[in-house]
Amino acid sequence: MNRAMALNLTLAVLCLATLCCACLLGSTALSAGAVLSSLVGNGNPMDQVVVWSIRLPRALAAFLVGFCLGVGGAALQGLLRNPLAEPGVLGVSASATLLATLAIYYNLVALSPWILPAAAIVGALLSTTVLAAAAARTHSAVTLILIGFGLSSFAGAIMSLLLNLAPTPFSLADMVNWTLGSVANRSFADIGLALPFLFAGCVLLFRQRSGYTLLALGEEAAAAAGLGVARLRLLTVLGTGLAVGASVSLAGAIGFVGLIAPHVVRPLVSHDPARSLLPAGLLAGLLLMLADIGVRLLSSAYELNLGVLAALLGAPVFIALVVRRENSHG
Amino acid sequence: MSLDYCADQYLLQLADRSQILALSPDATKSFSYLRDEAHGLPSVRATAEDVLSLRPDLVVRSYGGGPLVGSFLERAGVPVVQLPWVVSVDGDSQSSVTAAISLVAARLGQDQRGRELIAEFRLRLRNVRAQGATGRAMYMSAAGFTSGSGTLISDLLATAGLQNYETRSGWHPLPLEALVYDTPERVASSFFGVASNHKNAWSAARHPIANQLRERGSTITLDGATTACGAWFIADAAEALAGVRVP
Repeated sequence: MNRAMALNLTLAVLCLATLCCACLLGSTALSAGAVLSSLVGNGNPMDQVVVWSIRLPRALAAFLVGFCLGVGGAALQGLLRNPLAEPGVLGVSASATLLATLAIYYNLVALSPWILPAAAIVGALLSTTVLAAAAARTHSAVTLILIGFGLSSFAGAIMSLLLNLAPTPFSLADMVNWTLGSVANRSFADIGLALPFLFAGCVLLFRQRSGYTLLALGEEAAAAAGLGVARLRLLTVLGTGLAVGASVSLAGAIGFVGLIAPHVVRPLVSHDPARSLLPAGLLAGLLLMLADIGVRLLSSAYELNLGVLAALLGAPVFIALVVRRENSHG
Repeated sequence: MSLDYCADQYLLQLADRSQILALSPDATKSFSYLRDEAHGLPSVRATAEDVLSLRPDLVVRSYGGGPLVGSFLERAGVPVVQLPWVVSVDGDSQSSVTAAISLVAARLGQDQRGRELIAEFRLRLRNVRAQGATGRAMYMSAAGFTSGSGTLISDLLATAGLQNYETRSGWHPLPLEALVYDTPERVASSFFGVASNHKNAWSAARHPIANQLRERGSTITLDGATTACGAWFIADAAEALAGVRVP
């Protein structure tokens, strides 16, 4: 068994264990035995309802959102050849959040529940398209990050405008939650709405993975080796748009996991972008499940939002990465 | 003049129409109980400059304009009536609906109208109590919150003869897990599709468990306008809970 496979297997086992652990946590005291027998479909029917319709969907939503952000982050880093690229930092999550909020603001979601993931995906696609177009023109990693920062700020500004003009005091809380990010109260129905897009996006990105390895040699070399760079760019834009948009429609904007996970796994897969996709996704899913457990353990009367905790932990890591990168470049 | 939709209700009910200089922009919204009466009256934004330029003799507010506007207006020589944060329907405390009515009525020089309103309010509450409804009820807002002791909603349930499902004090997110094991006989739901057309995408009230509970048939849907603000029309909600009126 090679190293990458061992890494993936370890992460998968850890994810499964954490998923079970997450199901142990909740407001009612359930013994580990009761939870486990509920998970396999035995035991008290009420325990089963608690585990299957409250705890499991929540933990699963955290994993899926993390997985998408991890894969999306690794793919963007591969395409842009920039270790700081990440859906949150580049404004992809922010613009997905904005479009999702707009869909709610104008009550378009009343037409069909599918409007919500669709709007988030359109938002994500808008900014990935801008980024890919910019990446085709500039070779500066910093310029790209700054463009992403600009996109993020712009989406944030329109978001603030919406909050400012909120028609009733009651709709404020709803909109604020989009920017804070959470997987509380998610049900399998919510997951079902996001899942097709999530799946399509991740499959699309996985199919491009060998392209990122070639691209690591430089655009000319990759083109000479027969890689269609334009096509790779287009499909990555589409894939990250679908995956990140779907994750935002499920949990709002959650930053930095898409940055940290690929960064941690990269040295473990010999810095091969192709082989970093799967472990980055698994690790990000694992991290988000752990963060959501943390949110529930830390919360007293009022629950912390998952996105807030992710940003509290992730932002310092981002700064540390930038500083280290600066040092290594002299 | 009044600075928020809650203060608007008191002004619309207790003042002569000619006494009203302006209402808040929310006075005609769906969560404003006396929205029909508010039509045709001017509105004012709750900023100090807009308020002062109209030269009001009295300003009524609960939250409108933010916490500093009260003392600012007082310094500028405009008396301000601060509505209390209402947590009970009746009683001696300053934070009851009846105390709030007396307070505003006195400042408007409409004591008689205030006494009449309180008398009618108490009569309606007596009828509600006489109905003698029993059982446990849980309040569920569309935003996914329930209300425990020390809140107006809790006092409202008690007035209707119902025992509050939520035993902790204050406001809490819906206890979804506890609801699986122990369901209340009735659910009093509010704000579903009334106060806001924006369904909260994060609300625990969207969860299948909460939906099942609401669809079970023992749900009393309260008009959001009757509970959005602590005032005499909370009696509408009490009547709906006790089954005196069909909501």
